[in-house]
This record gives sequence, structure tokens and C-alpha cells, in this order.
Amino acid sequence: MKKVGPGMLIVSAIALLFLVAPIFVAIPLAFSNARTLIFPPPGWSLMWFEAFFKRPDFVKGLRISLVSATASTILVTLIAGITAYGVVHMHGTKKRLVSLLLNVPLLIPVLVIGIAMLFFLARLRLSGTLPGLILGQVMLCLPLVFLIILAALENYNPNLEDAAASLGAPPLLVFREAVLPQVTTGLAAGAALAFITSMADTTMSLFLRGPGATPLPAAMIAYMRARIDPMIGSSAVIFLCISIVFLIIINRLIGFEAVMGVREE
Amino acid sequence: MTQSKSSLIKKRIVEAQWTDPMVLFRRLAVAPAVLLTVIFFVLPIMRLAQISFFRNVAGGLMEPAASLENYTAFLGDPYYLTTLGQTLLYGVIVSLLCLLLGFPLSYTMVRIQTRAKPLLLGIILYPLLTNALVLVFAWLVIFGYQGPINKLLLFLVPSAEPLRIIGTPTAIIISMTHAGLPFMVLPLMAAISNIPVSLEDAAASLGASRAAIMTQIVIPLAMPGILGGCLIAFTSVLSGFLFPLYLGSNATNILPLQIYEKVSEAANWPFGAAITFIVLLMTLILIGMGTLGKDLVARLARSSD
Amino acid sequence: MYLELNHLSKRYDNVVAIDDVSLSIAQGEFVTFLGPSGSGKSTILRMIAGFTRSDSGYIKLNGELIQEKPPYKRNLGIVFQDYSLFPHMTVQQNVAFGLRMRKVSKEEQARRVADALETVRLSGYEKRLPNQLSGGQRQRVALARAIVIEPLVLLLDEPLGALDRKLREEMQIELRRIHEALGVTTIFVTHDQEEALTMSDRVAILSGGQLHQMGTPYGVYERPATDFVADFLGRANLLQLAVVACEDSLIKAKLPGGSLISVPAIGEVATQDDIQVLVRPEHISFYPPAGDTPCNTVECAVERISYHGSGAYAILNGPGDVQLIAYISARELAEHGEAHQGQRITVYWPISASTILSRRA
Repeated sequence: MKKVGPGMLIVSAIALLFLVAPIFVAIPLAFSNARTLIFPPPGWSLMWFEAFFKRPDFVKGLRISLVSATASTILVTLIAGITAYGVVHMHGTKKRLVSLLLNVPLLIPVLVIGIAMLFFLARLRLSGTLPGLILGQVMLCLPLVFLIILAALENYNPNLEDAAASLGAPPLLVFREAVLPQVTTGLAAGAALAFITSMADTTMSLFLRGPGATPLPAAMIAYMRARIDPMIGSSAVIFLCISIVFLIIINRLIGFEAVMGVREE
Repeated sequence: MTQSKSSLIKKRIVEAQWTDPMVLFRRLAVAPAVLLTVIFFVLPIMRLAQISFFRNVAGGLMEPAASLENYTAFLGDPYYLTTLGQTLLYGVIVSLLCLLLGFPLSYTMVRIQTRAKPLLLGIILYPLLTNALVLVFAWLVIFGYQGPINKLLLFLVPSAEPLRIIGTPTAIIISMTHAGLPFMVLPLMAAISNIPVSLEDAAASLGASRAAIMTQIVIPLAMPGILGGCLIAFTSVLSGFLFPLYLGSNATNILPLQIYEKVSEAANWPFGAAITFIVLLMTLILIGMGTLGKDLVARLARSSD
Repeated sequence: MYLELNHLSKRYDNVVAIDDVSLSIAQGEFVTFLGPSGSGKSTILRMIAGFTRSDSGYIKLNGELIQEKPPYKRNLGIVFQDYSLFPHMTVQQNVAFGLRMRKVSKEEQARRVADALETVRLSGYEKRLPNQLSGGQRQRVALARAIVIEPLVLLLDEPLGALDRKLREEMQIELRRIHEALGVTTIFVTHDQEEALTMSDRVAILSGGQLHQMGTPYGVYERPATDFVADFLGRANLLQLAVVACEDSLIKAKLPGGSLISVPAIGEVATQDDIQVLVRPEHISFYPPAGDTPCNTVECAVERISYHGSGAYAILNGPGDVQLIAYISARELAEHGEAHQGQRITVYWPISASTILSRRA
């Protein structure tokens, strides 16, 4: 008997089509030559990309998004990597408590975290600044990236550290020779995830924006107040491309199964 | 000696205990993340709770106070209570739709062998990892007067009036189901992948039909994943203010949108904080119910032995 | 002595892991630490290696106290239970690692790695990665990596645990051969008593963090110091006897069923004492020993015979519910004809083959 019945397969196919549908609508629209959201587009042009790159607020927004995503990626990868290394060497109640504390934010709606962050950073006079935005995205990514790196370290063998030491490697060399080679893949996957998550973020971008720090999503929302035209589609394509590129990178590095916590058969 | 890996590691940690720099580094490694989480997650939540008792002053200012007026204003206004009820209703509908689509999808993804699996998993994951504005834009096109749905309708029935979908609950529910589906699939796939195929084979060898295998074996064993998935899908509705903002109308107001409007547009932080705190409480109640549910499932499973 | 452990103790919280262990090992010796899991044998190994610190006591290696030396300065070769090969390095790089840490020149590294790989008979595998090797081959790489640094002591932590039986036996011979070729002082940790007895110059038997006995394989097997050692090393008949008479070199004692047994006298034993006596199954026979060797006899009923290829274990019921196990060789069994259940039979063992383990007044 086949493992998966026909009913299951049909519903799965519908679900996958449903999931993928927005991509097939958003991408063509960005190349439309119409002024309205007509689908399929009557003709093709790059006019909306041109328009996108002629708007200083969008270009600057994209730059700020990239800068804050890069900065939070570096910070989060470092912190989550070191933490995962520490947790791998922990055990018992302490390990459970640390993991619980770091995972709790995943259960709380991002909107709640964003609002709380806004109020807190406002108090520190950091809301509306680039460091504030970066901090917000760090907190947004930290639990996710920690989980991914920890999952990638599932096969981490701490005994290799002892082996290196017994063969005469002092601590710094133990780190370089026995620790780093074991963690680089996980760190790279974590960094890719951090970058995508920061680029995908609308909540922090919107609530922590300020005069000097208006990331692309915030600029888009400001624009969408007045009108919604295919130019939004051109920024959507930019976001989609970034997501897809980094998704491919993550899959190459550790595979989606590891990201999803799925045990392979 | 057959020592499990974890006990080997455990032994190793207990044993290494002098001031080797590596040992010190291992000890302190979790400190930055723990401190960061306490300072920039726990403290902000406390600040949120505090502000929800403040008083709003005209001009976007607030006055420190310990007043319940934000909460009484919320609970005393039928408009907000309707919004609260609508939020719960959308949450339930979206969770159920996600489960209906997500369970077969998760099961299929775990059990089939295909070279396209990475691509399919990518399709499942991308909505989580792409900007929500991309999805909002796509739904605006799909549901629009000149979008594919209406084009198709007019092609089939030339005399028909174009459908107005944007602004209806349908638009909100479809877009939020789309956004929530990956959240459902993640825990479900993890749970189903933990069920050995041999259990299904064993059931089949004992004469169980495909449906019986599902209801008797897979669903009971996947119950923690099902509960977890519903919980996170519901939580995603509590975060989704962009969908009702662009695809909704006054009739489809939900609390996340209220929060956005109070904080961002009306600059009434204390009231926004109160609504946010109510959403947080709803989340905590859900988590509590989910935990109780898991215990209950476990107990039922034991008692039916 | 070359390596001395003096009064080592260690507790974790309230559990005593190592309880006042002292022992010494001569240069070039092959010593096995034998014990069940949790006996503390690996912990002692880790103390010697420097990964674990003892609460009290000290370790002296070649006349030098090494207690405060970090692991990377001790110059010991360790083969880990899981081999702990660096997965990202080739065989060549794994074996050369210790030499690289010692800043040995490239040419000498290459020469010594080649030598080490030849010693473990793995030449030609230099460019492979660990995951391209079989379990036995990984084991050899781990061994080469440990010996190439010319360690003061070679520590082997259950290195054969993951191998199947046939490979295990091959590696046991290999390890002995390498030990003889290099003459390196070797400590081997195992929970397998047969392995310990076959391979070692001396065996240290540990249980519950205590050293029960250390001696040659023959000595610990035939003259165990405690009932734990007797029981742990192969099958044992542990008889509870009441002393009825003490002669110069002989003690007469009574089984619960009343049969009189003679035991060679060791230490102070008085009439009325209860003693525990060990008789190994292979000393018990269906025939009286040849010549006039003085022996004990007991009347038994056969309960069961279980065959083991080269012989059989006979489970026997003696008088007073005493159960005896006798190992009967295939030849003896053939001569005697098939013993069947319930058959009455007389068994014999030489008086010299019984050992008093303990005495209670």
C-alpha cells in the first residue's frame, strides 16, 4: 500500500498551490506597464523598477533595511552562536531553563513584542534611531537563530575538544581546530536566517522607524497611504528575491528538514 | 560500555572544573543571550504593563498613573468587545482552516519521497521568511476588481458584476490562513516525523484501513503537534495587523489593527498598551489551555490503555 | 614506579565516584582497568589524562607531580571511546595533528605519520576522511594519532566497545602486538572481563569507585580478593560454609546440607566461623582427579546441562539447596555419556582449587 492516500495528496496539492499563488501574482505585476493592479498585466515594462529607484525614500529605505539587517545578522549570529555553544555543554535543569527563557519570545505575538520594544526603547530615547531598529531586529531574530544553530549543533562532539587538548593543543588552538570547524555551517545557516528574518520584518520596521531610520517597509506603508500601484510590486520582487536566495543558501547549508525540526527517515 | 551520548556529555561537563579558559568560556557563553532576553524582552513587557495603567494626555503625551481607566474604557465599550469577539472568531476559523490544509500537507511532506522535496519545503517556508507587505500586495491584486478571480468570473459569466472581495471577512480569513499555514505545518511535520512508519505498517497488518490508521494512530500521536500548530496559527492572527489594514474594512476590525491604530495613528500609547496587554493575556491563556490540552491528551492516552 | 596514583578520591555532590584509589604501574606495562559501568574506571583514566581533577590525592608520572598540568602539556596518547576523530580532517591530518601542535617540521611529520600508519597497518588511507572508513579503520586511525606523539602513557578508553566480536578479537591481538613493538606503558579501560584477562600484564578491578584488587590475570582469577572480583571474573560457585575444625594447613567446613568440605587454610580462621569459599566451575568434575590429589566430593542431582560448544555448564543441585555450576569439557562429557535431568551424580574438585574469600566470626 502506498503510504499517502489520494485524498491526502489532493489536499496537499491544493495547499501548496494556495501557498505559492501570491508569488505568481506579485512577480508579474512588478513588470506590468499598467498604472493599476490589472492581472494578468496588459504588457510588460521595467517602468515600475525605474520609478522605484527614482524615489529617494525607497532607495534610502532599502539601504537602511540592508544596513540594519546586516548589523543585526552579525550581532545575532555571534550571540546565538556563543549561546548555543554554551548550551551544548550544559545539562539538566540549567539547560532547560536557559532554553526555555530564550524560546519564550517565539510564543508571544510579534506585535506584542514590537509594541513593548517601542515603549521600552522610547524610554531609553532609542526609538526611531538606527541602533534602536537594529536592537529590535536582534531581539526578533535571536530565538529563531538560536534554535537553528542549536539544531545544527545536534551532532556537535565535545569530546573532540578533549582529543585536541590531549594531543597538545592549548585552549585557543582547541577553539580553532576542534570547535570552529564543527560550528561554521550552523553559524552560516543562522546568519542566513537572521538576514532573511530582518529583511522580512515589518513590525519592528514600522514601530521603531524614525526620521533618520525609515526602512523600506515603513516607506512602502507611507506610500501605500496615498495609492497602491505596481511599484509596490517592484519592491515586493526585491524582497522575494532576497528571501529566495537566502532560503536556497539555508537549504544548501543544513537542509530545510533541520530548520523545521523534522527528523529524516 | 553503552553510555548514551548525553550522559557522556553530562559527565564531561561535571568533570571539567578548573580554570581552563575554555571551561570559563563555556560557563559564560550563555550570559549575553540571557541578559539580552531579560533586558530587551522581559523588561519591555513589564514597561508595557506599566504604561497600560497610565493616563493619556492630549498631544500624544501620557501621564504616569495607576489607573484602570484604559481597561474599563475597553471593557465598557461594545465596539471594542465586538472587536475582541471578532478577533477570537477569526483566530478560531483561521486555526481550523490551517489545520484542515496543514495536516494533510504535513503528513504528505513527511511520508513522500521526492526529489522536489526541498522546493516544496521552500514553498511552505517562504511566507514566514518574506516581507508581509509582499503578501498584502499579492492579495490586493488577487482580490482586486481587475484581479485574476474577477477576470475568471467575467470570462465564465460575461454578464456578472465583479465581486467585491477586499473589505470582506473572506479576504481577511484567506490572507491570514495563508500567513498562518506555515506556522501550522512546522510543529505538525516535526510531530509526524517522530511517528515511526512501522507503527502504521503494524496497524495496516492488523487490518486497519487508511482512515483507521489516521484516526487511531497518526492523529493521536501527532496531537501535541496539532495543539502546538493551532496555538501558533492563532497567535499569528494576533500579530496580523497589516492584512485587516489593507484588505479589511470597518466590519473586519480586529485587535491587532486597533493596537496599530492607537499606537501609530492616534498616538494614544496607554490605551494601545492596554489592548496589547489584553492580547498578551489572551496568548498566555491560549498557551495555558494548550499545555492543559497536552496533559489531557496524555492522560486520555494512558487511561485508554 | 613509573606512574603512581596515590589516594585519589572524588565526589560529585553526594556521590562518591572515586574512593581512595592508590595503584602504581611500571614502565612498559600493559594494565587494564576493569569494572562495570559506573565503577570509576573511566574517571580515573580522565584524571590521568587531566580532564578531571581529583578532590584529594596526587598523580606522579615519571617522578613528576602532574596534578596541576593542563591536559595539553601532559604528553599522553588517548584513544577515546567514540574515537573522536576530527571529521573535517583526513587520516593524514588527524594523525599529524599532535605533531603539528608540537611544531614538528613538515618532513618529520610526514615520516612519523607514515610510520604510525604502518604500525597500525593503515598505509594507503592517508587521504580518506573519517566518515569514509569502517569502524575498525577509524579505531586504527585513533590509535595511530595517539602513538605518533610518542606518549609517556597510552590511555585506551573502551576502544573496542563499538566493534563487533570478530573485529574486537582481531584488535585485541593488534593492540598487544603494537604494545610489544613500541613498549609504551598502556592503560586499557574495559568492562569485558575476558578482554581484560587475555590482554593485560596486570588487571585492576574496580567497583563503586573502589579498587578491589590488582594483580596478574591468573592471580585475580584464581585468587580473587573479594566476592565481587570472584563473581565479576567469570562464573563462580560461592559456597557459604560453617567451620567445624581447623588443622595446620587445612580447614574442615560444612555445607548447609551437612556435607564436609576441606579448604586450604589462609589467615586466621577459627571453629564456628562462617566462611565464603570460591570454587571455579572448571575445577569441578564428574570424575575424581588423577593420582592421589586430595579432593572434595559432593552428591548432586543434575538440574540442567547447557552446551557452549567446547563444553557444557552443568547446573547441579547439591544437598541443602546448594546450587553448583560445573564446567564439563566436551571430552569428559562424551566419556560420561549424556547426563540427563534428575540424574544423581557425584562431583569432585581438588582441595587446592578452593579459595576462602571472607570470614565472619
